[in-house]
Amino acid sequence: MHRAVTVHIVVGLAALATQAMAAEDIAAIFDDIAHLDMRRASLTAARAVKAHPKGSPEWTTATLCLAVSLHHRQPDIKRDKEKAAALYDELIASQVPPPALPLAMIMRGRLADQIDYAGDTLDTATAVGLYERVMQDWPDTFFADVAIYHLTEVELSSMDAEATRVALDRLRAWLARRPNNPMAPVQWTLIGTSSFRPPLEDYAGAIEAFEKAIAIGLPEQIPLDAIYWRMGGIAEKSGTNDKAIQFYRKIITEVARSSFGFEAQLRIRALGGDPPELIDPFAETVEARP
Amino acid sequence: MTLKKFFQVYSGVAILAGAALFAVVRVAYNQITFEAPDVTTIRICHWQLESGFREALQDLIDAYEKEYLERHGEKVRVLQLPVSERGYGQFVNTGLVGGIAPDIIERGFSRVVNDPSYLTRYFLPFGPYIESPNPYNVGTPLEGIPWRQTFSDGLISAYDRELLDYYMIPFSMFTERIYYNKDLYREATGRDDSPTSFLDFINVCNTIRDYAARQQRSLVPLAGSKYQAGVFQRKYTNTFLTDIIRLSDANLDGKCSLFESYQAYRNGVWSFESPALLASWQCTTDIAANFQQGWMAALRDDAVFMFVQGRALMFASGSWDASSLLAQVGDAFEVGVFNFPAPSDHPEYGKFARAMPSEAATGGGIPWGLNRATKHADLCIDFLRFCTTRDHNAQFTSHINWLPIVQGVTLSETLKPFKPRIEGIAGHFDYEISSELRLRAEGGRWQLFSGRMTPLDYAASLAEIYDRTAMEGFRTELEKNRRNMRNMDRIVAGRLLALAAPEASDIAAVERSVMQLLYANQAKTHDLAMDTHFLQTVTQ
Repeated sequence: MHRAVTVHIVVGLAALATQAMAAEDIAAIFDDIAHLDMRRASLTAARAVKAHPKGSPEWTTATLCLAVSLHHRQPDIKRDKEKAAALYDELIASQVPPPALPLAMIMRGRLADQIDYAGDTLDTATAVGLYERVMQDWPDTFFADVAIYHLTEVELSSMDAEATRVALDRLRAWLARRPNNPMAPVQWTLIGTSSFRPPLEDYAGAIEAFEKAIAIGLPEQIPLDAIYWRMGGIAEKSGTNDKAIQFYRKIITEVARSSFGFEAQLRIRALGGDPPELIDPFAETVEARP
Repeated sequence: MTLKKFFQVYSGVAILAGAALFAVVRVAYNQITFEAPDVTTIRICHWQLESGFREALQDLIDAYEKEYLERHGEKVRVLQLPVSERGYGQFVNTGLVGGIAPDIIERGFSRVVNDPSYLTRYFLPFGPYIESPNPYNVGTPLEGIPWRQTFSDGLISAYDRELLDYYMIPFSMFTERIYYNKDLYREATGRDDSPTSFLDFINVCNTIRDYAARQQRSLVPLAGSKYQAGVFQRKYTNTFLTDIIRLSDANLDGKCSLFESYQAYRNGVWSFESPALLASWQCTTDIAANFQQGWMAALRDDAVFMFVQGRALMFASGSWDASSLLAQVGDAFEVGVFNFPAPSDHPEYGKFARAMPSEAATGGGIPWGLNRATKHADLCIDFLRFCTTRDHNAQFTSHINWLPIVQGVTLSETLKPFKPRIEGIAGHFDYEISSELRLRAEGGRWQLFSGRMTPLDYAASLAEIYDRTAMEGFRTELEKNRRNMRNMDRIVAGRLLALAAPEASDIAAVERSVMQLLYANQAKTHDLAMDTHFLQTVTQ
């Protein structure tokens, strides 16, 4: 009798401790994944999954974290990726509420459209299907903006002219509907980057796309000189030299410390223009920028 | 008992007792120095054993400790731990993994301090600190300006494009130049001004050789070693290849990758016998002809000694060597510095080389990182802020003759020749696509530059290997790129998952960071698709 009571107390305390530990650990798992410590995250997440009843919000979050940490744990081995796929599939089949569901679908799509380990193969059909479902079920969300970005990338990788045109037209239509979505700058640069090279070689379309990306506003840390240099090169290819000169001028006048400045001057002269003087950012009289 | 007998019996015990006493004193000293419990102590480690660096840093530390005491009425201690380059990587790695690394760490010599997956785990980002003004700038022209913008590069070189944050605070920046013995130069050439063009530079070299022969002196124009040949090669290769880069640059990023160069090679844009490539090799060979006999066997330090001892007129190295060099030369002679002249005035080389490489985007050097495990992050930030005011950066860099990194610091006459060159080319041409080619290019390079092989022979040997191994190399490099892209996706996944965190984070910031990460990957993803398609096409 006395022994049975003791066992019950110990088991009860252990269960309570597990519950408490798991609740605290959810935050730690997110922290570990953010700092790319997938191994520790996967171990903690596995404990957290066991500690919560299936279908509870905690279980959903822990399962998603476990799937992501196995998906990205290194070394990349088949067993981990298959387990991650099974966990994503379980979340999707359980129709867990957002944001876990669209995230699980996007992550599962990435697992399918990338080579993760030696011997892995691409499964673009699964990826395309999942991205399309996210776009359809959550059309006005960031998740859909990300999904269409990955969907476009998958279709561009075919290098087929017609598929590329269709994919970019769909992305343009998306941008027309959601012009200020958080992914808009990078969606426009994707159109630009993939338009000017084969199979499309649509120079005007590429320049227009880059101009729109810059107009919307790229983050300060993205080096604009490289984009202007590319736009100048595209404009030269299309024979619109006046436009090329404009872009090369911007490198000199708008970007401090660009290593393209001198070559931009050379290109402007080669195209018959008169380049502005380079600004020396190392001049002794330089004052701090406001 | 005789004295001899006494020593025979007790000398072992005496030595043991002496050693024990020494150990106790040493431990006590270290305890007092490093573990003083009543004083907050931060530790800063680096590998800069150049003359003057430790003293310059110690001056800053002393000034900081004094200022902190005056401002806060509390003592702090900053301990610098200089570690030699040879053991630095291991010191930092084991310290970080074991949780005992110094608070502020100069980043270098280790994957742990550079690989994003380790960097994010072991280092704190500076992002939360750099957008507010540096309090030590109050009363100066930089008052009220965000700390980041007080650096002459706006800290752009500190920004990690994969982790989307700033992971270092620099103290200086570096360029490479040619040092020369002004007294000897004056004596041999009868002039004061440094060489003004490439032909002038070659003429000076010829003059020195004639002078040495006339005077029967052991004197060469340039102190040489493989290190020095590498410096000249870096400076005089891409500058010849701007037209090839432009014609091969399919993604218009201004550079020519291994993949682009291979596709351009197959399309006949360039070959190993392209006049521009041959001219670039010949140019470095011409320069290396002015090194001493047997330079291939010399070490970098041998070249330094030759210059310091007046047995070589010139010596090529970075501004990081300025302080040590000046200290070693002392009053023996006056040291001058000039920039590598562009070979645009050379009748043959001038057809290809219009300018030297641009230094406009020169980034910050002496990259201090902040250990994530530090218990004194705010104090470390405070110390780094103190060191990077205009006055303190000027004091530090002038002490060791390094270029300042804080805006508006006046350059001394000694430092002016090191000012980064803004008129230069940006491109880069990479063709060493397979391991075998890299080995051959590296091995043959010294034979080429020492004149034992002609550029045409070198070209033929590389072409044979390139034709045989490039396709396999292309496949291998493509696989490496794919793995790199896959690694980037881990970071994207981590950011995306933050949208599911129970504690609501800054959703807009998370979305913006995902967008930025996908942008950083975008061109590479597209290149990967293009290059994969190319490989499939040519192997069908």
